[in-house]
Amino acid sequence: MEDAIRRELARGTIELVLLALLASGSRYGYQIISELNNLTESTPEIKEGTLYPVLHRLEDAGHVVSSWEAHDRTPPRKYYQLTTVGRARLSALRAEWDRLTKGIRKVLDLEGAET
Amino acid sequence: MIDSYLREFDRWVVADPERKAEYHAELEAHLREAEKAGDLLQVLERLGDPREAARSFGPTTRLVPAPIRRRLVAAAIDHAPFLVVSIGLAVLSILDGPPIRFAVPAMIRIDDTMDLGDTLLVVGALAWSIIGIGLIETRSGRTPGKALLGLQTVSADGTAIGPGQGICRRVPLSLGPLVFVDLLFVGANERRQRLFDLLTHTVVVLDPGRSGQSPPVPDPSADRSTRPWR
Repeated sequence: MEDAIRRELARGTIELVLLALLASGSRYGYQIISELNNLTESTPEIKEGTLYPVLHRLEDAGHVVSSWEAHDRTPPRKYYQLTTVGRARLSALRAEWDRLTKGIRKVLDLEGAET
Repeated sequence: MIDSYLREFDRWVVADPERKAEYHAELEAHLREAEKAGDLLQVLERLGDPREAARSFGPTTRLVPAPIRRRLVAAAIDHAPFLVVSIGLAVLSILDGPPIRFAVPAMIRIDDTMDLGDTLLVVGALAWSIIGIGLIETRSGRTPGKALLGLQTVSADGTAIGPGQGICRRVPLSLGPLVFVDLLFVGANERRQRLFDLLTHTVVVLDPGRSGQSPPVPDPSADRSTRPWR
């Protein structure tokens, strides 16, 4: 039940999470999933089937760019990097997220006060 | 394991060749990283079977339902033998005088109105139209007619079609004039699906490899059981 609730709540925030992660540096797909899934217990497991469509959508929208890079002797990896447009998008999503969570918190506090 | 998974994945992905190669390369890199890290099995479990992976990982091309006129021309090319047999038998029947023994399209009748020659002609033509063309279509989603007209048949979820779908969607051809009931449904839904397209979860679209579309990517939070259609 808790997993289903987390999934439902996380469904609309994957883009925000991805952009925020990429804001701190470019990353490749497996790296993104590993970092997000190791972050905390409270974040639902991100699946490849969720991650890659979002990454491709962000790339088509110009919010991220990708490039194949090989470092040292590793096989080439496809790195994703935030663009200027992507940073603006992240700021907008962050502001909206803050507004939303503030509003929800007010309603939850009301409900808590009544009980 | 990775190579066989990717081969199957490639079979189910519907996209232009460049994008398809990109998806393959990206998924391969991902799986090789997982293998190196020792959690390949976990990743494969998250991805699901190759068709599931193709459904959610690969295809982000927005697919456009094919124009009806183009579909009709493609169908005329594919079913030319069946059309020739149907019209030929009908004309001969008219020339023989009443009763008119053959409708268009022809159908197999278990009575004494069809002699062995007529039966073999109709069976042979139907076998080509349903099974022959169905199997050809299963390989790439394209029949000869569709390839010429820049069309492709895909599953409603955006992946490639399977053999069952390729053949079953053609069954109405064996029903004689009742095939027109199947065709009527084309005007009743935005994806221009015939009745048997709806039943087999298939859609005929502009070939993404040839239509040169710029693909906006669908919202993954949307229901993935259906593809966003333009």
